[in-house]
Amino acid sequence: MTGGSTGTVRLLYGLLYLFLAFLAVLTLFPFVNVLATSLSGSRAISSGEVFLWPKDVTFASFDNLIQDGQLLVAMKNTVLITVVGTALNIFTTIIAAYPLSRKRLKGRNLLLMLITFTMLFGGGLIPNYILIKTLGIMNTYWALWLPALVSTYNFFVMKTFFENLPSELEESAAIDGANDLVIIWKIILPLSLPIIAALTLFYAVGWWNSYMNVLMYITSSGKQSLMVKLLQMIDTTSQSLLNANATSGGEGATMQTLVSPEGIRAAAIIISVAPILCVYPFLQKYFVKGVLIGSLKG
Amino acid sequence: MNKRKQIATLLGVTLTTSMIAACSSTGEEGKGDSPSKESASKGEISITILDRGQVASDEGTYESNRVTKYINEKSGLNVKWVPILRTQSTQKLNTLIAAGEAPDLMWEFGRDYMSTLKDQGAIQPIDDYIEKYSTSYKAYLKEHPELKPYTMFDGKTYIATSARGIDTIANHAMWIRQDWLDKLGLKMPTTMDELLTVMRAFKEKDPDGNGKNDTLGAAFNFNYTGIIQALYAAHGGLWYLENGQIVKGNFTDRYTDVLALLKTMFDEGLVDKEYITDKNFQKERQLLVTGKAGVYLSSWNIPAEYRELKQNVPDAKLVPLEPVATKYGKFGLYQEPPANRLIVFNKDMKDPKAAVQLLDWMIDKNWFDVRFGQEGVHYKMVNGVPQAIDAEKNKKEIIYAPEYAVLDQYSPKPEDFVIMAAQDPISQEYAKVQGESLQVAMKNKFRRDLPFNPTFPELSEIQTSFAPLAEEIETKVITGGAQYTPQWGLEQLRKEWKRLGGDNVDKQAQEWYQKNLKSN
Amino acid sequence: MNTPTGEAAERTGVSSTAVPKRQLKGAWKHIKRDKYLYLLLVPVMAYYFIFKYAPMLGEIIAFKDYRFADGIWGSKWAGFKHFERLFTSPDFFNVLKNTLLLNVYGIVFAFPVPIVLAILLNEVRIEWYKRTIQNLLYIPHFISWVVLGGIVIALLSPSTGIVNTVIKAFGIEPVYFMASNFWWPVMFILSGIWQSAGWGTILYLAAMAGIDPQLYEAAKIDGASKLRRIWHITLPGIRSTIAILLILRVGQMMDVGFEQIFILQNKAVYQVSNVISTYVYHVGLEGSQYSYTTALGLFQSIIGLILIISVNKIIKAMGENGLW
Repeated sequence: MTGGSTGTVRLLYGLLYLFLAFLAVLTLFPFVNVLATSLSGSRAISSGEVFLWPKDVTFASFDNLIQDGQLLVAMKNTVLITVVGTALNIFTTIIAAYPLSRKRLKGRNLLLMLITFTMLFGGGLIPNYILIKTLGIMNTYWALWLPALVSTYNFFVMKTFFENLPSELEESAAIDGANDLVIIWKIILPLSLPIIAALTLFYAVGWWNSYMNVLMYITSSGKQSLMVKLLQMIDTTSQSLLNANATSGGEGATMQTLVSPEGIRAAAIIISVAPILCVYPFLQKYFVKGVLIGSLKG
Repeated sequence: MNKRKQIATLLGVTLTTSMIAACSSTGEEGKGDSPSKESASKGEISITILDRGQVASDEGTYESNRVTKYINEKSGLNVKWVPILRTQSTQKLNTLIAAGEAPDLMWEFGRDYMSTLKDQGAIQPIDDYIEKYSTSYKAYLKEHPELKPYTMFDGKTYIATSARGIDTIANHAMWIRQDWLDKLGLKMPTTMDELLTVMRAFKEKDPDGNGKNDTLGAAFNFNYTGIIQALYAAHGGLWYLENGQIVKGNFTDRYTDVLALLKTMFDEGLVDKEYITDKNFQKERQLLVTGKAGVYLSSWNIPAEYRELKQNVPDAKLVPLEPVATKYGKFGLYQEPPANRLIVFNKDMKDPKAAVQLLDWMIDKNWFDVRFGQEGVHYKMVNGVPQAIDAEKNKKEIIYAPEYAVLDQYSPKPEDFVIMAAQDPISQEYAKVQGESLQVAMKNKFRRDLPFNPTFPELSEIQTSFAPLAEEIETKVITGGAQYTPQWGLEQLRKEWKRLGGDNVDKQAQEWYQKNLKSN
Repeated sequence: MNTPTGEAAERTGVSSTAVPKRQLKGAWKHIKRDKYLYLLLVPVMAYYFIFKYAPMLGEIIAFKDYRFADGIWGSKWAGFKHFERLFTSPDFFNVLKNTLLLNVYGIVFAFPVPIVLAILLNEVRIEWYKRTIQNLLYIPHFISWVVLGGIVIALLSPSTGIVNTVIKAFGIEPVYFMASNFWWPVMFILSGIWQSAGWGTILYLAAMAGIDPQLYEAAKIDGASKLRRIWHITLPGIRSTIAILLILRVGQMMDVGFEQIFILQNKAVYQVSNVISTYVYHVGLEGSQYSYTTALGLFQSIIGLILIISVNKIIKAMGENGLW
């Protein structure tokens, strides 16, 4: 059995669980604060009364964001951007990582060096903008998907993973007459579910939060992404609060106002984080041990 | 086996449908681009507009909504509005220019930015166009000679602009708790010494009567140091005229007094000692609205702060505090220069005549309709001032309209605010206070020896390096205790400037002054 | 087992023939053998050339006096003028020092944290507990620094922050952490860990999922203690992941994220908190200095490249797979 008495082992486990719970509380704290702020009235927020619990409870911040309809459109846009973007990413990353993980490939080192180089050197905003313009994809989502087809960082992670898969699998399949494509499809992919799940998460989150590239390449108001719209609304709120007069449609001094930029920002964070919190648990089950066993036997 | 197939088909279907969706939306874009035949005879002009996200989806988009339709109808021109998101607006504009895609007319606030555009060769002089094609705008310029220096570079006109209304000229302002003055039997302070006495009393004499030593002399927003500097006519970012030479504000002898005052306020605990880590001045604002500060140094227009203070402390009386006199005299607080939006002409503009036509049409009287909407629908006139008929309706339909009046002649009078505000008691109360605040803010002129600052590359360079050093020195003086005196601070500032090559820059600044402004 | 022949032989490097083929014919044979692999790489390399290498030509403006009106090609040559300006700029070495220093602290103190966390998480037996904790630990990654920064500053406030309240209870003087040249970098690193350690465990957990449970079973039977199992099975199992992430991390040494610094810095600590990204921001405020900032970027890239090649060599010498 293990090298200690059951009592000590139990104690250690207990401590471990407690410690993890403590860490979880530490990391949960900012989120709880943000949630509380998003449900609080502007006066309470400005007066520093909101800590872990909402005060002057109101849904005004959320209403302000949702009621316009622009946000829903932006969210739909972002779902589209994310789903297609991530699918393209995973596909391209796999077809890049597998070949380059095979040491037998001639020219492998050269290609890898070329790829590494692009991680460090870039042309900057203006040459990229001109490229997008020249390709004629400005103001379409291709201007977002194509330049980001592969994240070199994620590519290297996946390549390393493929390099560590036991070579016997590939060899025995090759003996059975399988070509590379079949090997990828039937053997490599099923074994790579944990890493594919992880990278899917990374790519998806990246797309979900896209901001700078949307700002630069998407010009139609109706095609903006969630992040851009949310940040814009936070900005708009600060502006409209400065304007006290009803003739110009402002919000300033009226008692009706319960929104403040901080409240809006908090609600915006909740809106943008909530979907990810829902998606992650689905991907978690791929981080389960023992995925390898089945294939070895098969 | 099955699962893999399922995932594959799911992925495949999603990808295909999404790509079809993406492609079809691209197709729609293509259709919308071709202009209709009838407008071929109209002049065409494209112009930027700041996208503040205020156009609700059922109002349209920033490119096409009730206001843009009105403008196209009434002006006889086909105006294409190019939205630029307010965040990172100059970066976006720069990228458009670099890629050769910038619209015909571009505008921004900030003359320095326009100066770089000129140096980059992106814009063209417009004297000839105004001369040849303009009517109303030309006349307007004659009536407003104060705008002239702001429109010119190197003797040529590059910028079209209109004058700011006093509500956007007024900027920095101070406020004070009149009820605290009354409670402690103090008069409204008119000199710096009186103000210090009042602030000390606010701190020590428990004016909110709660038995706790929790009140402060003053709170502030990001305008804090600017306000103090203005009171001593030593604004760090401006150049002042002294004996025929121009000197940067933070090198004048008066600046020692600025540092001394800031230091005193910190040392005596008249302000919160942790303000240097108060990003965005949230804590400071909190001190005001929870009724813990007696003086508030910020802006002339503070509707949200006023409302929140009244919600927390219903009996509070927050009134404008006129700038106090120092041993150097009485100076006003920061006011904006008179030019409003600065409009420039793209070097590659195809139809300058149409551009001038738009400017003429706008400045004439149409800015009013663009800005305020339709009479009887969005407002009714009360004593010559537009008053909202349905405030909720205006929140949707008018909130974005003023953006489109790129040139205007709007300038409210302090009495107008009461008419323009919402009808509820707190808004009306604030509107009165707002009017007073505007009056006080405009009462004393902000000392501005030069209409605008010198600009040349060596100056920009030295400023990039000097600014953080200056902040460090000043922070040491203010918060570092007795060993760092204001005199030491000023010496250090001058020393650092010199070390970075400031002597040469000063010389060039004098030359710039001789060349650009002395003759005017 | 039979000696493999033909394609399979080529693939595994085992061959029944001992006669070496001529170079050219050999190369062609490799391409034929790996034809599908090369096929897959065609779109990938096309992507890199079009979207990475083509815009890279824009780096040239570091050697020119770029003007909008002249475009990239038409702008006048400026040689090394911008680099000279960079190296003689009085802030430059301080900014460079801070960037490198903060990164070194990050690698030494922050890099190991997700690894340790992942190992701890891996040891949790109760599945739902493990999943829940995982789900909570990564949340700060999604909260922007605008909010997190405010919380950090509030927590560390000498008068009202909870950290100092605890310190005062022990009879020690409260410390103004965020205004101290000594403490600021510490808080910078700690808050960075707070924000990203949870998210950082994901890759390590994914790697651990690939470790054969039978190895653990065997070790247990052999009487190995928990600690020994972690040391001899878990860690080696994620060794290559650690290696690659370390190399990639070092490649980022010439950069420190803008947002975190911008939110957390203040006038009292410019000396230790000004990094390249904030420096670029201040330069950018002076307007349109594209050539200068591109020169700075080029400098960062070159140093980054040297660093990444060096670390790659070291890691490979230690027996791991590197970038290539």
